[in-house]
Amino acid sequence: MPVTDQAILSEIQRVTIEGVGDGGATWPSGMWTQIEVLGYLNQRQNRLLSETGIRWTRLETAIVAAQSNQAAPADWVTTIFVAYKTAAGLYRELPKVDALELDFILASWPGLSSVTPRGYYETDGDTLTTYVVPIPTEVGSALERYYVALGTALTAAGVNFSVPDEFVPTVKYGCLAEMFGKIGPAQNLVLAEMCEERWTEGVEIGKLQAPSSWFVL
Amino acid sequence: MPYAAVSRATLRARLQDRYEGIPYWSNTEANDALNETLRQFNLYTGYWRGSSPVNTVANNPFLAVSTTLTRTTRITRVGKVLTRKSIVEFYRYRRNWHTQTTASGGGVPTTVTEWAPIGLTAFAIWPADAVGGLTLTLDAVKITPILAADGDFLDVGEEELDLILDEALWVLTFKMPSEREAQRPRHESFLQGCLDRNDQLRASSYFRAALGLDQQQRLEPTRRTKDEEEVG
Repeated sequence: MPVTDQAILSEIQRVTIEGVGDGGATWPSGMWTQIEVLGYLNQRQNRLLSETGIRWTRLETAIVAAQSNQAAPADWVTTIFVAYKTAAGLYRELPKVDALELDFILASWPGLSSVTPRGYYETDGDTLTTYVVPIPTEVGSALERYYVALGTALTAAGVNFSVPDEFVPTVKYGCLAEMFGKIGPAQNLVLAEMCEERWTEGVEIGKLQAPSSWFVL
Repeated sequence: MPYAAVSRATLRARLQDRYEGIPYWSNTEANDALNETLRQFNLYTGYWRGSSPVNTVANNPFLAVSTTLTRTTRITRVGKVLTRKSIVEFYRYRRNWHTQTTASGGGVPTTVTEWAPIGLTAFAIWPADAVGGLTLTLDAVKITPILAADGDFLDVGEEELDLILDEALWVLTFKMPSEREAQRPRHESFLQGCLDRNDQLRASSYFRAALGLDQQQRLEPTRRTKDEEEVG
């Protein structure tokens, strides 16, 4: 049974003594607003997805020939694996490299072109961009990405969480940690620390579960 | 057959039994705490397990995990267990795995033999089924059965109830921070119980530290037996 944002917002309202829970619509104390709490929930959900890699997205995008920088998907968070697809439809792994490594193995690599790229890098260039090296020249080729994507935005309209149900309490405590860590009358560092502890427990268990599905080598 | 001994209403009453005094929680809050605890329990131990069928799609190596499951541990088809691999292995060692099907011929098997997880929600098979409609059975951890009404029964044996009630009480102390430290041993007993049921948790330095396991090991004196001393 998927968990909706309204159900969790109501739970948060009850534990913060903001009424009996109306799906996160009203925050009578004035210490928090609906938009603010939704912001915390979304941030923590995306952090959990990013830190654990429990949910992958697979996407194939056509390569723009004769240029190294290929736009990453707009919902990209982190790359897990990239494959190169030739125009003939054959797939192979595209290893992850970095600029220093390329300096060593391909001295003339900046500006070098090839129909058979050797790798990709993401850390040494523009954000939201995958650099394929040498510059791919094959028209009709594509990148197949396995990556962690942003979760569906929670809007207090009954949207399902993008993490498995079992991880929803982790997101909830992450949100509460932000709420109680806020500078102002709402601040309660003891509670914030307790919530952070619950959050960490969930992230740690996610880290244990997810890698087992990454590389069984 | 699921357990049908303890209902949500009974669980709430037992929760109350563990706290001498007027409860500082409402029925709704108790229900929230119980359901949250069940999710935590399943997350930590993978207690609710089961299987679910998935049909292959012609020439498509990518399949989705049923929404009733959270973590796939094993995949079988009639008469055969599929070998678990990783996506990386598929690309490295089966170069054209993407396009190979059971009808490809050559060295490609005529039946599906391997699978690789894609996160927790999808998986790939090799070779893809050329016909489609082959039933694969996924053994997995199921999503947590949530108690939605007072008459709903908890699908857990009586022997696990202590753990669940302890943790639910710990969750409820959120509204009563002054109680929190006094109730912490309940949470630790829950974590210890989960660790006893899932050895994988020992692999995490976080959980080892939380339960003081490494500290306990350090404090244990190393003692040699008389035989070892004689040999040494």
